[in-house]
Amino acid sequence: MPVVTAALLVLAPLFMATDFALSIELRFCIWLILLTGLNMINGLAGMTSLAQAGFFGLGAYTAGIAAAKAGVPPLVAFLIAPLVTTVAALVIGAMSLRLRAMYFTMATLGTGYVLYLLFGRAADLTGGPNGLLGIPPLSVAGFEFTEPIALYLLGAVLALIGTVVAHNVARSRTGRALRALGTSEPAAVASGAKAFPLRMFAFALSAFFAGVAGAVEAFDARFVSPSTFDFFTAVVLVVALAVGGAGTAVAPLIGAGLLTALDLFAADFADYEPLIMGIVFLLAIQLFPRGVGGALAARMAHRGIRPTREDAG
Amino acid sequence: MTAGLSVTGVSKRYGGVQVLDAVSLHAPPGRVTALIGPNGAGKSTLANVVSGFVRPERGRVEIDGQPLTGTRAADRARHRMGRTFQNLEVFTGMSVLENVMMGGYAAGRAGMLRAVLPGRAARREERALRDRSLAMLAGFGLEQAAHTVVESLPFGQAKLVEMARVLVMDPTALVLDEPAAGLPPASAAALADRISGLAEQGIAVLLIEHNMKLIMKVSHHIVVLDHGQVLTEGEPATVRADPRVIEAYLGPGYNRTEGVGR
Repeated sequence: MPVVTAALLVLAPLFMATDFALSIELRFCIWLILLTGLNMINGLAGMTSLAQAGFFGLGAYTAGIAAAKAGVPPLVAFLIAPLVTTVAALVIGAMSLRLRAMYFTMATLGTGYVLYLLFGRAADLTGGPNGLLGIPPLSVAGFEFTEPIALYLLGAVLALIGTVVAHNVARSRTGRALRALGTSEPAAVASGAKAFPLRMFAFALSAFFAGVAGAVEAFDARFVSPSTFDFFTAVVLVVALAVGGAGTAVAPLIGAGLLTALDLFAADFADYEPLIMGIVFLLAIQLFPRGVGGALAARMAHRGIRPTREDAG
Repeated sequence: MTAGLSVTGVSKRYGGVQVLDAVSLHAPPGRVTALIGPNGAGKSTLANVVSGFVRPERGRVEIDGQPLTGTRAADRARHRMGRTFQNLEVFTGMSVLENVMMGGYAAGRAGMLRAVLPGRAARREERALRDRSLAMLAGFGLEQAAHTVVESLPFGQAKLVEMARVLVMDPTALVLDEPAAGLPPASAAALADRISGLAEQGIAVLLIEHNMKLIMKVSHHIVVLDHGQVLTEGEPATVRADPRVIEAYLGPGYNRTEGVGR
Protein backbone atom coordinates (compact mmCIF):
# COMPACT_ATOMS: atom_id res chain seq x y z
CA MET A 1 0.00 0.00 0.00
CA PRO A 2 2.77 2.54 0.68
CA VAL A 3 3.91 1.99 -2.91
CA VAL A 4 0.46 2.78 -4.32
CA THR A 5 0.18 5.87 -2.15
CA ALA A 6 3.68 7.04 -3.09
CA ALA A 7 2.93 6.63 -6.78
CA LEU A 8 -0.30 8.56 -6.44
CA LEU A 9 1.27 11.39 -4.47
CA VAL A 10 4.15 11.74 -6.90
CA LEU A 11 2.02 11.50 -10.03
CA ALA A 12 -0.78 13.86 -9.01
CA PRO A 13 1.22 17.11 -9.18
CA LEU A 14 2.90 16.00 -12.43
CA PHE A 15 -0.49 16.01 -14.12
CA MET A 16 -1.99 19.00 -12.39
CA ALA A 17 0.32 21.59 -10.89
CA THR A 18 -1.63 24.81 -11.01
CA ASP A 19 -1.89 26.53 -7.65
CA PHE A 20 -5.52 25.52 -7.43
CA ALA A 21 -4.78 21.89 -8.27
CA LEU A 22 -1.98 21.79 -5.73
CA SER A 23 -4.26 23.16 -3.04
CA ILE A 24 -6.78 20.40 -3.83
CA GLU A 25 -4.01 17.82 -3.82
CA LEU A 26 -2.89 19.09 -0.43
CA ARG A 27 -6.47 18.72 0.85
CA PHE A 28 -6.26 15.12 -0.32
CA CYS A 29 -3.07 14.66 1.72
CA ILE A 30 -4.68 16.15 4.82
CA TRP A 31 -7.72 13.89 4.47
CA LEU A 32 -5.42 10.95 3.90
CA ILE A 33 -3.46 11.66 7.09
CA LEU A 34 -6.70 12.04 9.08
CA LEU A 35 -8.21 8.84 7.71
CA THR A 36 -5.01 6.82 8.03
CA GLY A 37 -5.05 7.79 11.70
CA LEU A 38 -8.75 7.09 12.09
CA ASN A 39 -8.25 3.67 10.50
CA MET A 40 -6.11 2.70 13.53
CA ILE A 41 -8.94 3.03 16.01
CA ASN A 42 -12.04 2.60 13.83
CA GLY A 43 -10.58 -0.01 11.53
CA LEU A 44 -7.78 -1.90 13.22
CA ALA A 45 -9.17 -1.73 16.75
CA GLY A 46 -12.81 -1.77 15.67
CA MET A 47 -13.75 0.96 18.16
CA THR A 48 -15.57 3.80 16.41
CA SER A 49 -14.20 7.21 17.32
CA LEU A 50 -16.08 10.39 16.46
CA ALA A 51 -13.34 12.58 17.93
CA GLN A 52 -11.05 12.70 14.89
CA ALA A 53 -12.40 16.06 13.69
CA GLY A 54 -12.02 17.44 17.21
CA PHE A 55 -8.41 16.27 17.43
CA PHE A 56 -7.82 17.69 13.94
CA GLY A 57 -9.04 21.03 15.26
CA LEU A 58 -7.06 20.70 18.46
CA GLY A 59 -3.93 20.15 16.38
CA ALA A 60 -4.68 23.11 14.12
CA TYR A 61 -5.45 25.46 17.03
CA THR A 62 -2.46 24.24 19.04
CA ALA A 63 -0.08 24.90 16.16
CA GLY A 64 -1.84 28.15 15.25
CA ILE A 65 -2.03 29.59 18.76
CA ALA A 66 1.53 28.56 19.58
CA ALA A 67 2.87 30.23 16.45
CA ALA A 68 0.56 33.25 16.24
CA LYS A 69 0.04 34.16 19.89
CA ALA A 70 2.71 32.49 21.99
CA GLY A 71 5.56 33.41 19.69
CA VAL A 72 6.80 29.85 19.50
CA PRO A 73 8.95 29.19 16.43
CA PRO A 74 6.66 27.75 13.72
CA LEU A 75 8.54 24.46 13.45
CA VAL A 76 8.23 23.92 17.19
CA ALA A 77 4.55 24.87 17.03
CA PHE A 78 4.14 22.30 14.27
CA LEU A 79 5.74 19.60 16.39
CA ILE A 80 3.78 20.45 19.54
CA ALA A 81 0.41 19.94 17.84
CA PRO A 82 0.52 16.11 17.53
CA LEU A 83 1.93 15.83 21.04
CA VAL A 84 -0.99 17.78 22.46
CA THR A 85 -3.58 15.75 20.55
CA THR A 86 -1.89 12.51 21.63
CA VAL A 87 -1.99 13.55 25.28
CA ALA A 88 -5.66 14.55 24.86
CA ALA A 89 -6.44 11.12 23.42
CA LEU A 90 -4.64 9.40 26.29
CA VAL A 91 -6.76 11.33 28.78
CA ILE A 92 -10.05 10.67 26.95
CA GLY A 93 -9.03 7.07 26.31
CA ALA A 94 -8.13 6.47 29.95
CA MET A 95 -11.68 7.42 30.85
CA SER A 96 -13.54 5.66 28.07
CA LEU A 97 -11.55 2.80 26.55
CA ARG A 98 -12.32 0.38 29.35
CA LEU A 99 -15.98 0.75 28.45
CA ARG A 100 -17.83 -1.10 25.76
CA ALA A 101 -17.48 0.08 22.18
CA MET A 102 -20.74 2.01 22.15
CA TYR A 103 -19.87 4.03 25.25
CA PHE A 104 -16.46 4.79 23.85
CA THR A 105 -18.13 6.17 20.72
CA MET A 106 -20.40 8.31 22.89
CA ALA A 107 -17.40 9.62 24.81
CA THR A 108 -15.60 10.55 21.60
CA LEU A 109 -18.75 12.22 20.28
CA GLY A 110 -18.80 14.33 23.44
CA THR A 111 -15.08 15.04 23.16
CA GLY A 112 -15.40 16.23 19.58
CA TYR A 113 -18.33 18.44 20.45
CA VAL A 114 -16.72 19.95 23.53
CA LEU A 115 -13.60 20.75 21.51
CA TYR A 116 -15.72 22.32 18.78
CA LEU A 117 -17.51 24.50 21.34
CA LEU A 118 -14.19 25.44 22.87
CA PHE A 119 -12.80 26.56 19.50
CA GLY A 120 -15.79 28.86 19.00
CA ARG A 121 -16.20 30.15 22.55
CA ALA A 122 -12.70 30.59 23.95
CA ALA A 123 -12.40 33.74 21.86
CA ASP A 124 -9.41 35.19 23.71
CA LEU A 125 -7.34 32.24 22.75
CA THR A 126 -8.88 30.97 19.53
CA GLY A 127 -10.34 34.10 18.00
CA GLY A 128 -13.80 32.64 18.52
CA PRO A 129 -16.21 32.32 15.59
CA ASN A 130 -14.12 34.75 13.55
CA GLY A 131 -11.24 32.35 13.55
CA LEU A 132 -7.60 32.55 14.43
CA LEU A 133 -5.57 34.97 12.33
CA GLY A 134 -1.93 35.89 12.05
CA ILE A 135 -0.34 32.47 11.78
CA PRO A 136 3.17 32.92 10.36
CA PRO A 137 4.36 30.61 7.59
CA LEU A 138 6.09 27.42 8.58
CA SER A 139 9.82 27.83 8.23
CA VAL A 140 12.49 25.21 8.58
CA ALA A 141 16.13 26.32 8.59
CA GLY A 142 15.28 29.53 6.77
CA PHE A 143 13.06 27.90 4.15
CA GLU A 144 9.50 29.21 4.23
CA PHE A 145 6.59 27.00 3.26
CA THR A 146 4.51 29.56 1.41
CA GLU A 147 4.42 28.26 -2.16
CA PRO A 148 1.65 25.75 -2.91
CA ILE A 149 4.17 23.23 -4.22
CA ALA A 150 6.21 23.39 -1.02
CA LEU A 151 3.11 22.94 1.12
CA TYR A 152 1.94 20.11 -1.08
CA LEU A 153 5.28 18.33 -0.78
CA LEU A 154 5.16 18.73 2.98
CA GLY A 155 1.66 17.23 3.08
CA ALA A 156 2.58 14.47 0.65
CA VAL A 157 5.70 13.44 2.56
CA LEU A 158 3.80 13.38 5.85
CA ALA A 159 0.92 11.42 4.30
CA LEU A 160 3.41 8.93 2.91
CA ILE A 161 5.18 8.54 6.24
CA GLY A 162 1.76 8.03 7.80
CA THR A 163 0.94 5.31 5.28
CA VAL A 164 4.23 3.55 5.97
CA VAL A 165 3.58 3.70 9.71
CA ALA A 166 0.06 2.32 9.22
CA HIS A 167 1.49 -0.44 7.05
CA ASN A 168 3.99 -1.36 9.76
CA VAL A 169 1.41 -1.26 12.52
CA ALA A 170 -1.07 -3.44 10.66
CA ARG A 171 1.55 -6.11 10.08
CA SER A 172 2.98 -5.98 13.58
CA ARG A 173 2.37 -8.13 16.62
CA THR A 174 0.46 -5.18 18.11
CA GLY A 175 -1.69 -4.64 15.02
CA ARG A 176 -2.60 -8.30 14.88
CA ALA A 177 -3.64 -8.23 18.52
CA LEU A 178 -5.78 -5.15 17.93
CA ARG A 179 -7.62 -6.81 15.09
CA ALA A 180 -7.99 -10.02 17.09
CA LEU A 181 -9.49 -8.06 19.99
CA GLY A 182 -11.97 -6.51 17.61
CA THR A 183 -13.34 -9.83 16.40
CA SER A 184 -13.05 -12.17 19.39
CA GLU A 185 -12.06 -10.46 22.58
CA PRO A 186 -12.07 -13.63 24.75
CA ALA A 187 -9.76 -15.53 22.42
CA ALA A 188 -7.45 -12.54 22.03
CA VAL A 189 -7.27 -12.07 25.79
CA ALA A 190 -6.66 -15.79 26.30
CA SER A 191 -3.75 -15.39 23.87
CA GLY A 192 -2.27 -12.72 26.11
CA ALA A 193 -3.56 -9.51 24.52
CA LYS A 194 -4.39 -6.75 26.99
CA ALA A 195 -7.32 -4.85 25.57
CA PHE A 196 -6.94 -1.55 27.38
CA PRO A 197 -3.31 -0.63 26.64
CA LEU A 198 -3.59 -1.88 23.07
CA ARG A 199 -6.65 0.26 22.40
CA MET A 200 -5.01 3.22 24.12
CA PHE A 201 -2.14 2.83 21.68
CA ALA A 202 -4.47 2.77 18.66
CA PHE A 203 -6.44 5.77 19.89
CA ALA A 204 -3.33 7.77 20.76
CA LEU A 205 -1.83 7.01 17.37
CA SER A 206 -5.02 8.10 15.61
CA ALA A 207 -4.93 11.38 17.51
CA PHE A 208 -1.24 11.86 16.71
CA PHE A 209 -2.13 11.67 13.01
CA ALA A 210 -4.97 14.14 13.55
CA GLY A 211 -2.52 16.49 15.23
CA VAL A 212 -0.16 16.30 12.26
CA ALA A 213 -3.04 16.95 9.87
CA GLY A 214 -4.15 19.88 12.02
CA ALA A 215 -0.68 21.43 11.98
CA VAL A 216 -0.49 21.11 8.19
CA GLU A 217 -3.93 22.68 7.93
CA ALA A 218 -2.98 25.60 10.18
CA PHE A 219 0.23 26.38 8.27
CA ASP A 220 -1.46 25.91 4.91
CA ALA A 221 -4.49 28.17 5.45
CA ARG A 222 -2.60 30.36 8.00
CA PHE A 223 -6.05 30.77 9.46
CA VAL A 224 -8.10 28.43 11.62
CA SER A 225 -11.85 28.61 12.01
CA PRO A 226 -14.08 26.41 14.19
CA SER A 227 -16.47 25.40 11.41
CA THR A 228 -13.77 23.24 9.79
CA PHE A 229 -14.01 20.88 12.78
CA ASP A 230 -17.74 20.72 13.33
CA PHE A 231 -19.97 17.71 13.87
CA PHE A 232 -20.45 17.25 10.14
CA THR A 233 -16.69 16.81 9.65
CA ALA A 234 -16.61 14.32 12.53
CA VAL A 235 -19.31 12.20 10.91
CA VAL A 236 -18.08 12.58 7.37
CA LEU A 237 -14.64 11.24 8.34
CA VAL A 238 -16.17 8.12 9.84
CA VAL A 239 -18.45 7.68 6.85
CA ALA A 240 -15.66 8.15 4.31
CA LEU A 241 -13.55 5.55 6.07
CA ALA A 242 -16.48 3.14 6.22
CA VAL A 243 -17.14 3.59 2.50
CA GLY A 244 -13.47 2.84 1.87
CA GLY A 245 -13.75 -0.23 4.08
CA ALA A 246 -12.56 0.51 7.63
CA GLY A 247 -9.75 -1.81 8.60
CA THR A 248 -8.51 -2.38 5.07
CA ALA A 249 -5.34 -0.81 3.75
CA VAL A 250 -7.04 1.03 0.89
CA ALA A 251 -9.79 2.57 3.00
CA PRO A 252 -7.99 5.85 3.82
CA LEU A 253 -7.04 6.31 0.18
CA ILE A 254 -10.58 5.79 -1.08
CA GLY A 255 -12.05 7.85 1.72
CA ALA A 256 -9.64 10.71 1.08
CA GLY A 257 -10.54 10.63 -2.61
CA LEU A 258 -14.19 10.79 -1.72
CA LEU A 259 -13.74 13.72 0.67
CA THR A 260 -11.60 15.61 -1.84
CA ALA A 261 -14.29 15.14 -4.47
CA LEU A 262 -16.81 16.41 -1.95
CA ASP A 263 -14.61 19.47 -1.32
CA LEU A 264 -14.54 20.24 -5.02
CA PHE A 265 -18.23 19.70 -5.42
CA ALA A 266 -19.10 21.68 -2.32
CA ALA A 267 -17.46 24.75 -3.77
CA ASP A 268 -20.55 25.05 -5.97
CA PHE A 269 -23.21 23.24 -3.97
CA ALA A 270 -22.26 23.83 -0.35
CA ASP A 271 -25.82 23.43 0.91
CA TYR A 272 -26.11 19.95 -0.50
CA GLU A 273 -22.94 18.58 1.04
CA PRO A 274 -24.65 16.51 3.77
CA LEU A 275 -27.23 15.28 1.30
CA ILE A 276 -24.58 14.13 -1.17
CA MET A 277 -22.58 12.42 1.54
CA GLY A 278 -25.70 10.71 2.80
CA ILE A 279 -26.56 9.39 -0.62
CA VAL A 280 -23.01 8.22 -1.25
CA PHE A 281 -23.01 6.41 2.07
CA LEU A 282 -26.38 4.73 1.47
CA LEU A 283 -25.32 3.59 -1.98
CA ALA A 284 -21.97 2.40 -0.70
CA ILE A 285 -23.38 0.25 2.09
CA GLN A 286 -25.84 -1.27 -0.37
CA LEU A 287 -23.18 -2.05 -2.94
CA PHE A 288 -20.25 -2.80 -0.65
CA PRO A 289 -21.43 -3.72 2.84
CA ARG A 290 -17.84 -4.01 4.04
CA GLY A 291 -16.62 -0.99 2.16
CA VAL A 292 -14.76 -0.82 -1.11
CA GLY A 293 -11.68 -2.27 0.56
CA GLY A 294 -13.68 -5.19 1.91
CA ALA A 295 -15.12 -5.89 -1.54
CA LEU A 296 -11.64 -5.80 -3.09
CA ALA A 297 -10.32 -8.19 -0.44
CA ALA A 298 -13.21 -10.59 -1.02
CA ARG A 299 -12.66 -10.51 -4.77
CA MET A 300 -8.95 -11.20 -4.43
CA ALA A 301 -9.57 -13.98 -1.92
CA HIS A 302 -11.97 -15.46 -4.45
CA ARG A 303 -9.25 -15.55 -7.05
CA GLY A 304 -6.88 -17.20 -4.63
CA ILE A 305 -4.78 -14.14 -4.01
CA ARG A 306 -4.21 -13.68 -0.35
CA PRO A 307 -6.57 -11.19 1.21
CA THR A 308 -5.42 -7.61 1.60
CA ARG A 309 -6.48 -7.49 5.23
CA GLU A 310 -3.40 -9.44 6.06
CA ASP A 311 -1.43 -6.57 4.65
CA ALA A 312 -3.80 -3.95 5.95
CA GLY A 313 -2.06 -0.64 6.29
CA MET B 1 6.07 -27.94 43.82
CA THR B 2 3.17 -29.61 42.10
CA ALA B 3 3.78 -29.98 38.41
CA GLY B 4 0.95 -29.19 36.03
CA LEU B 5 -2.25 -27.38 36.80
CA SER B 6 -3.71 -27.42 40.25
CA VAL B 7 -6.88 -25.92 41.59
CA THR B 8 -7.33 -25.73 45.35
CA GLY B 9 -10.51 -24.90 47.21
CA VAL B 10 -12.05 -22.68 44.55
CA SER B 11 -15.43 -21.17 45.39
CA LYS B 12 -17.54 -18.87 43.27
CA ARG B 13 -20.99 -17.50 43.91
CA TYR B 14 -23.27 -15.76 41.43
CA GLY B 15 -26.02 -13.97 43.30
CA GLY B 16 -27.56 -16.59 45.53
CA VAL B 17 -26.16 -19.56 43.66
CA GLN B 18 -23.00 -21.27 44.82
CA VAL B 19 -21.67 -22.22 41.39
CA LEU B 20 -18.37 -23.62 42.68
CA ASP B 21 -17.98 -24.84 46.24
CA ALA B 22 -14.43 -25.54 47.38
CA VAL B 23 -13.44 -27.34 44.21
CA SER B 24 -9.97 -28.87 44.07
CA LEU B 25 -8.43 -30.82 41.26
CA HIS B 26 -5.05 -31.55 39.82
CA ALA B 27 -4.17 -31.97 36.16
CA PRO B 28 -0.61 -33.36 36.01
CA PRO B 29 1.58 -32.86 32.96
CA GLY B 30 1.45 -35.54 30.33
CA ARG B 31 -2.05 -36.63 31.24
CA VAL B 32 -5.57 -35.86 30.19
CA THR B 33 -7.72 -34.93 33.16
CA ALA B 34 -11.38 -34.83 32.24
CA LEU B 35 -13.95 -32.69 33.97
CA ILE B 36 -17.47 -33.98 33.53
CA GLY B 37 -20.81 -33.28 35.08
CA PRO B 38 -24.39 -32.46 34.17
CA ASN B 39 -25.34 -29.09 32.71
CA GLY B 40 -25.08 -26.36 35.30
CA ALA B 41 -22.56 -28.29 37.39
CA GLY B 42 -20.08 -25.41 37.15
CA LYS B 43 -17.68 -26.83 34.55
CA SER B 44 -17.52 -23.71 32.40
CA THR B 45 -17.20 -21.46 35.42
CA LEU B 46 -14.27 -23.56 36.56
CA ALA B 47 -12.70 -23.25 33.10
CA ASN B 48 -13.13 -19.48 33.37
CA VAL B 49 -11.62 -19.40 36.85
CA VAL B 50 -8.66 -21.50 35.73
CA SER B 51 -8.03 -19.29 32.69
CA GLY B 52 -8.52 -16.07 34.64
CA PHE B 53 -11.74 -14.80 33.08
CA VAL B 54 -13.64 -15.20 36.34
CA ARG B 55 -12.26 -14.26 39.73
CA PRO B 56 -13.17 -16.74 42.47
CA GLU B 57 -14.08 -15.61 45.98
CA ARG B 58 -11.78 -18.20 47.45
CA GLY B 59 -9.21 -20.69 46.33
CA ARG B 60 -5.99 -20.92 44.36
CA VAL B 61 -4.99 -21.79 40.84
CA GLU B 62 -1.37 -22.76 40.24
CA ILE B 63 0.62 -23.76 37.22
CA ASP B 64 3.79 -25.73 37.97
CA GLY B 65 3.56 -24.49 41.55
CA GLN B 66 3.36 -20.82 40.54
CA PRO B 67 0.29 -19.13 41.94
CA LEU B 68 -1.88 -17.46 39.31
CA THR B 69 -4.43 -16.09 41.73
CA GLY B 70 -4.99 -12.42 41.11
CA THR B 71 -3.55 -12.43 37.61
CA ARG B 72 -5.84 -11.63 34.72
CA ALA B 73 -6.62 -13.83 31.76
CA ALA B 74 -4.10 -12.06 29.53
CA ASP B 75 -1.31 -12.63 32.07
CA ARG B 76 -2.05 -16.33 32.25
CA ALA B 77 -1.08 -16.71 28.63
CA ARG B 78 2.38 -15.56 29.72
CA HIS B 79 2.39 -18.46 32.16
CA ARG B 80 1.67 -20.62 29.12
CA MET B 81 -1.86 -21.43 30.10
CA GLY B 82 -3.86 -22.06 26.94
CA ARG B 83 -7.56 -22.49 26.47
CA THR B 84 -10.13 -23.06 23.78
CA PHE B 85 -13.74 -22.05 24.00
CA GLN B 86 -17.02 -23.88 24.05
CA ASN B 87 -18.31 -21.75 21.22
CA LEU B 88 -15.89 -21.43 18.37
CA GLU B 89 -13.73 -18.35 18.95
CA VAL B 90 -11.63 -17.48 15.93
CA PHE B 91 -10.59 -14.10 14.57
CA THR B 92 -12.92 -13.48 11.65
CA GLY B 93 -11.61 -11.25 8.91
CA MET B 94 -8.10 -12.53 9.57
CA SER B 95 -6.32 -15.25 7.66
CA VAL B 96 -5.89 -18.74 9.07
CA LEU B 97 -2.17 -18.05 9.44
CA GLU B 98 -2.77 -14.82 11.34
CA ASN B 99 -5.22 -16.62 13.60
CA VAL B 100 -2.56 -19.15 14.50
CA MET B 101 0.15 -16.49 14.84
CA MET B 102 -1.98 -14.78 17.44
CA GLY B 103 -1.26 -17.76 19.68
CA GLY B 104 2.34 -16.58 19.83
CA TYR B 105 1.35 -13.16 21.09
CA ALA B 106 2.14 -13.75 24.75
CA ALA B 107 5.67 -14.93 24.05
CA GLY B 108 6.35 -11.98 21.73
CA ARG B 109 8.66 -9.20 22.81
CA ALA B 110 8.14 -6.52 20.17
CA GLY B 111 6.51 -3.60 21.98
CA MET B 112 4.06 -1.05 20.66
CA LEU B 113 6.76 1.30 19.42
CA ARG B 114 8.06 -1.55 17.32
CA ALA B 115 4.66 -1.56 15.65
CA VAL B 116 5.42 1.91 14.32
CA LEU B 117 9.08 1.35 13.54
CA PRO B 118 9.91 -2.34 13.40
CA GLY B 119 13.54 -3.08 14.08
CA ARG B 120 15.52 -6.07 12.99
CA ALA B 121 14.66 -7.99 16.16
CA ALA B 122 10.94 -7.42 15.68
CA ARG B 123 11.14 -8.59 12.06
CA ARG B 124 13.09 -11.67 13.04
CA GLU B 125 10.56 -12.45 15.74
CA GLU B 126 7.68 -12.12 13.26
CA ARG B 127 9.40 -14.41 10.77
CA ALA B 128 10.10 -17.04 13.39
CA LEU B 129 6.50 -16.95 14.58
CA ARG B 130 5.27 -17.16 11.02
CA ASP B 131 7.41 -20.22 10.31
CA ARG B 132 6.35 -21.88 13.53
CA SER B 133 2.68 -21.18 12.79
CA LEU B 134 2.98 -22.53 9.24
CA ALA B 135 4.60 -25.68 10.60
CA MET B 136 1.78 -26.02 13.12
CA LEU B 137 -0.79 -25.61 10.36
CA ALA B 138 0.97 -28.26 8.33
CA GLY B 139 0.64 -30.59 11.33
CA PHE B 140 -3.10 -30.10 11.13
CA GLY B 141 -3.18 -30.53 7.36
CA LEU B 142 -4.22 -26.92 6.96
CA GLU B 143 -1.16 -25.46 5.21
CA GLN B 144 -3.16 -24.97 2.01
CA ALA B 145 -5.64 -22.82 3.89
CA ALA B 146 -3.01 -20.60 5.54
CA HIS B 147 -3.86 -17.51 3.53
CA THR B 148 -7.60 -17.87 3.35
CA VAL B 149 -9.89 -15.94 5.64
CA VAL B 150 -10.73 -18.15 8.60
CA GLU B 151 -14.51 -17.84 8.31
CA SER B 152 -14.41 -19.44 4.89
CA LEU B 153 -13.34 -22.76 6.47
CA PRO B 154 -15.87 -25.43 7.44
CA PHE B 155 -16.67 -25.62 11.16
CA GLY B 156 -14.49 -28.63 11.91
CA GLN B 157 -11.43 -27.07 10.30
CA ALA B 158 -12.04 -23.76 12.06
CA LYS B 159 -11.98 -25.69 15.34
CA LEU B 160 -8.60 -27.08 14.33
CA VAL B 161 -7.38 -23.53 13.69
CA GLU B 162 -8.39 -22.67 17.23
CA MET B 163 -6.46 -25.69 18.47
CA ALA B 164 -3.41 -24.77 16.39
CA ARG B 165 -3.56 -21.26 17.83
CA VAL B 166 -3.31 -22.42 21.44
CA LEU B 167 -0.59 -24.90 20.58
CA VAL B 168 1.62 -22.21 19.05
CA MET B 169 1.65 -20.79 22.55
CA ASP B 170 3.56 -23.96 23.57
CA PRO B 171 1.29 -24.39 26.56
CA THR B 172 2.23 -25.96 29.88
CA ALA B 173 -1.43 -26.41 30.70
CA LEU B 174 -4.34 -26.48 28.33
CA VAL B 175 -8.04 -26.14 29.07
CA LEU B 176 -10.20 -27.57 26.30
CA ASP B 177 -13.80 -26.49 26.74
CA GLU B 178 -15.98 -28.97 24.84
CA PRO B 179 -13.69 -29.40 21.85
CA ALA B 180 -15.92 -32.05 20.28
CA ALA B 181 -19.12 -29.98 20.43
CA GLY B 182 -20.64 -29.79 16.98
CA LEU B 183 -18.16 -32.16 15.37
CA PRO B 184 -19.29 -35.16 13.33
CA PRO B 185 -18.25 -38.57 14.80
CA ALA B 186 -15.33 -39.06 12.42
CA SER B 187 -13.83 -35.68 13.31
CA ALA B 188 -14.39 -36.36 16.99
CA ALA B 189 -12.39 -39.57 16.66
CA ALA B 190 -9.53 -37.69 15.00
CA LEU B 191 -9.76 -35.12 17.75
CA ALA B 192 -9.36 -37.85 20.36
CA ASP B 193 -6.03 -38.84 18.83
CA ARG B 194 -4.89 -35.25 18.86
CA ILE B 195 -5.80 -34.78 22.50
CA SER B 196 -3.90 -37.93 23.44
CA GLY B 197 -0.98 -36.60 21.42
CA LEU B 198 -1.03 -33.33 23.39
CA ALA B 199 -0.67 -35.23 26.65
CA GLU B 200 2.18 -37.26 25.18
CA GLN B 201 3.96 -33.96 24.50
CA GLY B 202 3.88 -33.35 28.24
CA ILE B 203 1.05 -30.85 28.37
CA ALA B 204 -1.30 -30.89 31.36
CA VAL B 205 -4.64 -31.20 29.61
CA LEU B 206 -7.88 -30.34 31.36
CA LEU B 207 -10.68 -31.58 29.15
CA ILE B 208 -14.26 -30.47 29.65
CA GLU B 209 -16.52 -32.55 27.48
CA HIS B 210 -19.96 -34.12 27.19
CA ASN B 211 -19.02 -36.76 24.67
CA MET B 212 -18.47 -39.78 26.93
CA LYS B 213 -17.01 -41.87 24.15
CA LEU B 214 -14.26 -39.31 23.70
CA ILE B 215 -13.77 -38.96 27.45
CA MET B 216 -13.41 -42.69 27.98
CA LYS B 217 -11.00 -42.95 25.11
CA VAL B 218 -8.55 -40.22 26.06
CA SER B 219 -8.72 -39.47 29.79
CA HIS B 220 -6.36 -40.78 32.39
CA HIS B 221 -8.33 -39.34 35.24
CA ILE B 222 -11.89 -38.07 35.55
CA VAL B 223 -13.25 -35.48 37.95
CA VAL B 224 -17.02 -35.37 38.28
CA LEU B 225 -18.56 -32.06 39.19
CA ASP B 226 -22.13 -31.74 40.40
CA HIS B 227 -23.84 -28.69 41.91
CA GLY B 228 -20.48 -26.97 42.14
CA GLN B 229 -18.80 -29.72 44.13
CA VAL B 230 -16.50 -32.56 43.25
CA LEU B 231 -18.78 -35.56 43.43
CA THR B 232 -16.08 -38.11 42.85
CA GLU B 233 -12.92 -38.63 40.88
CA GLY B 234 -10.76 -41.47 39.73
CA GLU B 235 -9.85 -43.67 36.82
CA PRO B 236 -12.31 -43.73 33.92
CA ALA B 237 -13.56 -47.27 34.55
CA THR B 238 -14.16 -46.61 38.24
CA VAL B 239 -15.94 -43.34 37.63
CA ARG B 240 -18.11 -44.84 34.96
CA ALA B 241 -19.32 -47.53 37.30
CA ASP B 242 -19.97 -45.20 40.21
CA PRO B 243 -23.70 -45.16 40.94
CA ARG B 244 -23.53 -41.56 42.18
CA VAL B 245 -22.22 -40.45 38.80
CA ILE B 246 -24.97 -42.29 37.00
CA GLU B 247 -27.52 -40.73 39.25
CA ALA B 248 -26.13 -37.22 38.86
CA TYR B 249 -26.12 -37.56 35.13
CA LEU B 250 -29.30 -39.47 34.49
CA GLY B 251 -31.40 -39.12 37.59
CA PRO B 252 -32.25 -41.81 40.14
CA GLY B 253 -33.57 -45.18 39.08
CA TYR B 254 -31.80 -45.29 35.76
CA ASN B 255 -30.82 -48.73 34.56
CA ARG B 256 -27.06 -48.66 34.95
CA THR B 257 -26.32 -51.31 32.36
CA GLU B 258 -27.01 -48.69 29.70
CA GLY B 259 -24.02 -46.70 30.85
CA VAL B 260 -23.45 -43.01 31.21
CA GLY B 261 -23.98 -40.11 28.89
CA ARG B 262 -24.83 -40.01 25.28
